[in-house]
Amino acid sequence: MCSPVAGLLLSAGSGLARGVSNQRYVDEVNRQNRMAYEMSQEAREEERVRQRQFEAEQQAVVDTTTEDMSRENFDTQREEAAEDFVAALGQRPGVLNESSLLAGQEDASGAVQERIAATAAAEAAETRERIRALADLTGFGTTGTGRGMAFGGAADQIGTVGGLRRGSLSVGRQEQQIPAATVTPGNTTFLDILSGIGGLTAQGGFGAPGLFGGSPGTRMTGNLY
Amino acid sequence: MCRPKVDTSVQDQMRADSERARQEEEARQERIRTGTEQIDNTFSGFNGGFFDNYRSTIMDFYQPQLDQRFESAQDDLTFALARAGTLNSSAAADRQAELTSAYDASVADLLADAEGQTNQLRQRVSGEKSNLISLLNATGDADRASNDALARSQILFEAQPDYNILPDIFGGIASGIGGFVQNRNNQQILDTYFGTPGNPGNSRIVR
Repeated sequence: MCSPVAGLLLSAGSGLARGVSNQRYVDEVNRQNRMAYEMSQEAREEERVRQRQFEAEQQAVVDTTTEDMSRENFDTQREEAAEDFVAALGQRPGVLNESSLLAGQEDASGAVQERIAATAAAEAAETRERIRALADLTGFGTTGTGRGMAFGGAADQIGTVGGLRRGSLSVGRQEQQIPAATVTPGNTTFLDILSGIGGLTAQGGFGAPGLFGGSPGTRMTGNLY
Repeated sequence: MCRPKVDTSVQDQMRADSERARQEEEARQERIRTGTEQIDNTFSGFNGGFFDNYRSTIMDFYQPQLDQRFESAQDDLTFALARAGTLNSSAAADRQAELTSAYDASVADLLADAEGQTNQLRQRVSGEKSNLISLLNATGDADRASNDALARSQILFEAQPDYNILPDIFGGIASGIGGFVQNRNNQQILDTYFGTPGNPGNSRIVR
């Protein structure tokens, strides 16, 4: 019972068991940290995919707007607006009516009637030029308004997607910050007790007085000076 | 006995929180997309046809007034030319062409004004729509955005253009016609009675 070898074996065994226990603890901590990291990386990758989709959506709006806002398109749109103005004017009754005679002029001589018609035609031609110039001016306004609205619409779309991006990013950050599981070392009380017993046994075996009496060669007499 | 204990309660809680946050965020995004579509649908009535009609309505208000003024000015011109005995003359042709040109230019000006007012309404519609989208983005409340879109579009559909009574556009076209002829007649009478330099008149002074 008091064999020092048994004590040493017991002590070494419990030390070994505690070492294994510590190593298990460290391994488990590492494992949990790695799992948390992988989970975080997975969440980050998923968020990256989502952000890329949002970005593509915004880029599509930018591309469309950039194309619409080109100089060539502006000229085309302005020309269309001017043509629309002239067409709308042409639909109004009585406009550019060159051949109207005043009451009483029906009896005028042919020369006078020709003069009236020629003067009216010349004046109408001049008026057409003025109307065309006005149509061009109006075309600038109409096209400018249309472009402003298009810009506003594009800004709204980009802003909306931007809001979605921020919202998703915020949740993504939360997903990436989930901590590792908490790991606590295993209970080593029993091993500690075994180790203590082993230590005492070994001590007793080598002649320590007290509990196990010690070995004969080292028995304490109680009269040491 | 000596195995380490793994406690995932905090992790599980945070994971559940983040999953719930993701679901809520996806629901919010869906509401925003749905709300944006609803706003677009509500405002789809403000199309090219609506604005053309708005412009045309403004013209329909002004043109009868303009036509009436034009006819009145034509009558005034006819009478003035007839009184001056120049109805069938080159001067009449000039004045007549001037009047017609003024009419055409006036219609064009009115149309430009109508176009300007229509553009203002376009901008207003665009601004209202933009405000609604901002509101939707801020609240994520698609139902509220949809209701607001309906209410605001209703107001916009009822928008009335500014309108005024036309001023006297053609005034002055016929003025001066009688005056010149009257002055010439007066001068002839004076010349007849008092003569011109080198040509004594027909009048005699009786003392």
